[in-house]
Amino acid sequence: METLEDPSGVPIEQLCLTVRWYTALKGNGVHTVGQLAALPEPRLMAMGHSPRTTMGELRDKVGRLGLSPWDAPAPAANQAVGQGPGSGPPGRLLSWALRAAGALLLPAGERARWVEEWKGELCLLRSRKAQARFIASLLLAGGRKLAVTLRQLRPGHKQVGRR
Amino acid sequence: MTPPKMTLQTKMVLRLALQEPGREWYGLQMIEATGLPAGTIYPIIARLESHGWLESRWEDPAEHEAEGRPRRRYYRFTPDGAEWARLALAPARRPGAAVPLHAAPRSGQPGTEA
Repeated sequence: METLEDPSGVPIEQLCLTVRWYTALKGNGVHTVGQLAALPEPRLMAMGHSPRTTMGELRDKVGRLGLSPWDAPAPAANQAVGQGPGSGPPGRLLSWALRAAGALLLPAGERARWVEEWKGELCLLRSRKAQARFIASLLLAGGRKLAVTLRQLRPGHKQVGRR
Repeated sequence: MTPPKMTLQTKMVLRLALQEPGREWYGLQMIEATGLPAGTIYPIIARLESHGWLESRWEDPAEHEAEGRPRRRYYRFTPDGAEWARLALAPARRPGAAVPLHAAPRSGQPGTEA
């Protein structure tokens, strides 16, 4: 597994956490991986509020960045369905590239939908290399083609085709 | 409504989806199944969806939250879309076969490469 030299500054958005964990952490002022890793397990468990917000998810996601701040019982126990060995959240650079691709190429009204879709699929790719290839493909041709397509299909455009 | 541009890559996506017309696919599955790059698949999906051939939905929160990942967007044929796709691909499958006039796209002949 590729690890960052110092992942503590990575925003928690890049961990691809469940909505429950994400909102719980943000609500408690936790914005970076470093802040998250500094919290003791009992405090995190108290934030979780739900059986679904298990520590296993946090151990797994933070562990992928090379950190192990909490005692992990079984690394494979929380391996999510659809995530093969080595899969995980995209690195900071890849996430930035993805957002940049969306911001540069897509119409504002469509941007959030496509970036969210791409980010979800990026998390399923098995390696950083595959993730980089995915983004490169979008940046080099796909985003531009998609932007042209979406602009052509906008209401008011001559060739409106929306239902 | 004008039909979507029928490129070779678009036909590949349609053929794939027609194998199981009721099945829902997310983009990465289409990428893996067709071997086409992401940069090609998504514009095709957008075009097919905007023309009413495909419909899409976000995954239920219960599914992706339980698996600890962001939600996916699923695509599948609309009832009309599956039929339009069959008609559009028919000339390619059966050379010389005529597309019924009432169902034929008004422009951009099926089988015409972009």
